[in-house]
Amino acid sequence: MTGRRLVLAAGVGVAALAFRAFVVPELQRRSIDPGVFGVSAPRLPDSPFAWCEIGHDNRIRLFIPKVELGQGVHTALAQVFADELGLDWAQIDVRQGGTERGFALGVIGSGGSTSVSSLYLPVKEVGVAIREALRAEAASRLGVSPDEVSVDEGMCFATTDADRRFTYGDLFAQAQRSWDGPTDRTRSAVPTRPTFVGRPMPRVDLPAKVTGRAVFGSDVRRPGMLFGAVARPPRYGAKLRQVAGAERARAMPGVVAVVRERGFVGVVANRRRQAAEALAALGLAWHGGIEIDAAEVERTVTAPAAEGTIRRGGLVETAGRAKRTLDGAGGRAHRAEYRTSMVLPLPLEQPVAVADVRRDRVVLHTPTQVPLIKALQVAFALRCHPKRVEVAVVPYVGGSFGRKVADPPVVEAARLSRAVRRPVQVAWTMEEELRFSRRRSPTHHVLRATLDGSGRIGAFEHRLAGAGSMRTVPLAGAVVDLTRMDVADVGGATIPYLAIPNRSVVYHYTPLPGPLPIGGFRSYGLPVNVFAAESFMDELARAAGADPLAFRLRHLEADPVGRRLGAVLRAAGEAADWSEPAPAGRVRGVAAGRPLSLAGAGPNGATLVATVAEVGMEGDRIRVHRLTCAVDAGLIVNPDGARAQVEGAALMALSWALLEDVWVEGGMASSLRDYPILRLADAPAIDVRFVNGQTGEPSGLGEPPTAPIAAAVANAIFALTGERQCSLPLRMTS
Amino acid sequence: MKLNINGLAVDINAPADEPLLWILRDDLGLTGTKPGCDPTLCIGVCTVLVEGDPTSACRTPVGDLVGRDVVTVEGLATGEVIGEERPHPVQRAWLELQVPQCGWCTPGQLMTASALLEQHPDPSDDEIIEAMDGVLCRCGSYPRVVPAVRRAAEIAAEERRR
Repeated sequence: MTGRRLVLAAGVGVAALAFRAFVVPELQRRSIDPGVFGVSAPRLPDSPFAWCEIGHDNRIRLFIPKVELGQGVHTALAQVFADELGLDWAQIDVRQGGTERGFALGVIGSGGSTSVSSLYLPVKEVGVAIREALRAEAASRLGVSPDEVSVDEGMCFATTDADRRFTYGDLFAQAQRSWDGPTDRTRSAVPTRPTFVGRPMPRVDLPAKVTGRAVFGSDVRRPGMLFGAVARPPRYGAKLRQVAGAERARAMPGVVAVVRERGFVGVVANRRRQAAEALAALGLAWHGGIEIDAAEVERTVTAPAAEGTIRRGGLVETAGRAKRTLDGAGGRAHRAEYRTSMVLPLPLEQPVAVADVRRDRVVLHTPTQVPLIKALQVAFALRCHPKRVEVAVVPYVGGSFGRKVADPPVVEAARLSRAVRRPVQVAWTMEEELRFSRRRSPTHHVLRATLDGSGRIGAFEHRLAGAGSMRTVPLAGAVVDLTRMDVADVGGATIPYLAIPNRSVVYHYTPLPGPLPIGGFRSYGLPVNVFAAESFMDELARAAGADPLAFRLRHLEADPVGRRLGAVLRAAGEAADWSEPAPAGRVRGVAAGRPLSLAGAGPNGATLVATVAEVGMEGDRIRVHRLTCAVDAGLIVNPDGARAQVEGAALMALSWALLEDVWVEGGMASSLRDYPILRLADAPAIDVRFVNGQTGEPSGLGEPPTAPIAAAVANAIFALTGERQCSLPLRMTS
Repeated sequence: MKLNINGLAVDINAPADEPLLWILRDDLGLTGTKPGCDPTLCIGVCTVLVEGDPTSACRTPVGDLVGRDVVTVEGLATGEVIGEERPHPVQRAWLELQVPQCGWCTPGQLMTASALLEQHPDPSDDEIIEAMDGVLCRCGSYPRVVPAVRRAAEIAAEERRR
């Protein structure tokens, strides 16, 4: 008996050791590998006609399976289609795809800076397939071989006799019926006419936006629609114990129903205000939940004092013997600590949904980055088959930045609609958003490095602690808890300076209590990891007595990332006149971004950015006058749209860096007055230069340009005041 | 009560203290004017013109507007010929310079800019910034705002000359 138990225990022990030694690191490694989530590897639709329809009027309706959030992706992808199909721009009618058309397994959502980069080749292939199908149909009707048919500008005609012609619209229906599989693509290597890609075509969604005709999620009105208000807990994670005033609320003017389900209570009324007032009269009692303050968050999200090893943290990157070298150097090693705040995505349009739950199907109108996931969430909540849930993604979205992914209104509206058998709108308010929105994980960074006599870095170690941005995502969260590695938190932490022989990046998973809403957020850890690493590079440059830009270039090598990062650094420096003295009273700081592996890496690699910030004093305040951003994002499909993306990313990152922190005196911000965001008067001039933008394929632009902003500004502030700032948000008054 | 919205008289049946924003959006189907402000801060996306002045619809009780001209973004374009709209110079400039990204703050920007140009046909950059600073934008359209207002001023001047 004893012997068998001993053998069993030993066997389990060996298995556990093997698991920890082999399986866990592999899971960790894979969790950093973007291929695992398939974010940048969509499947083609079963038929090219899923994304495209051509009417007899010869207008082409494109059902784009990516969401137009204001990033210009509809226009950019329409340009790719137009080139491949040989279209006239005036023929194009872009529609937002939804679960009924466009989105399917293979393209489930829109985000991670991948919308253009991941669909670039699939859209080309679909365009080619349609083009060849039209050519084959024209050839058949003309009685010639396909080689004798030209396809261009909406027309198919016999090459030798252009009077024998058809419009795409004439041919489309039959071409669709006859299509029987992917055609020979060798003909298609060159697009019909590269006319639109590379040109600043005007955004297809802007005319509706300047007339007020654009229907956003909050604008959707359905016949018989009612308004819903949902009770929010007084503390994160508190559970509903009692609803004392249900009868009283039901009797109030305009109230149609008080809906009580497990863990949920809401009011449905004819008017928005009636729902809110009845909600306030419900007499709710809650129990449980967490109380947490800034000090506790800071204590929790702290990298361990003793220098971390792989046993204490997850290894993100290693080369040489960084820890040994640094431990050996003792007090001679340079050391710095940085902390960053929790910030909110805060799109100006709050999350919203209109749900219409009928007997046999559910129709949802909502602005969302992930229509298929919304369908699954509602199917799960209502216990119905996902195929019965239709998500109509509204074609106009008032910003998202990762927020309209895990947002609750869809399920809330569905519950209420099911109870009253009418369409119900649930629209979150700004106050609810400030309190309950997912927010970026706070971080803590400890960096060490050695410098040799000639001012070269010998060893560089970056240890960072984060609360796990993916932790609240179903399934992904389980992986994070198991592996203690969070791919979102470590974005951008890898060290691109390969001339440093000893390098180490270690991530410490320091989770906060589950009910605290940490999660999905534009760029995730990228800007904060770069803030810490690039501020530290600046400190080392100063210690070495070196020019900060030259110091960075000196530590890059000729690997693909190093070469490209060197090029953007040089381009930023040149555009910002780095080698010339700054205007009187102004100083400059520089920072280099990092690859964000999920951010739509094209075949050239992930997007790389470098920024020079120019600051000066204005009275007793520091003012950011100019940001010069050099960007290598591969092929630029729309130069003006791309420039707008960089401007927007830079300004949002600046707002985070200068202003945003959910903690205020007495707790978390609950009003906009406590949570200021950047205003026009504080916005600097922004200069954008694209590097290598004419060739290759596009990589992502939504997130990467946020990376170096905080560090560039902090480094400029150091140059101005001599004070190193080690936390975000930065202090802008002296 | 009777209101005057975009040149049309409309009958409203609502409490006099209801903010104009919700009357426009929920009762009149004019959803161009946007919500998003909170009680402590108006972010400007709800801006309409009341007798030509930029006004926060989020905190203006509808009872205060009886007998006063209200213009929303839907009324910004002028119709000179029936069925044919002529975009306002600010709308044309916003399109030319491709200012909007998500478009949520666009109506607030347009209404504020149109009022500014009514009062200052040739504003300085400082005047533009002071007037437009009340409309927040999260997507980052700020670098294009001042140039767009200047362009709108040019377009308006050209139109006056014709």
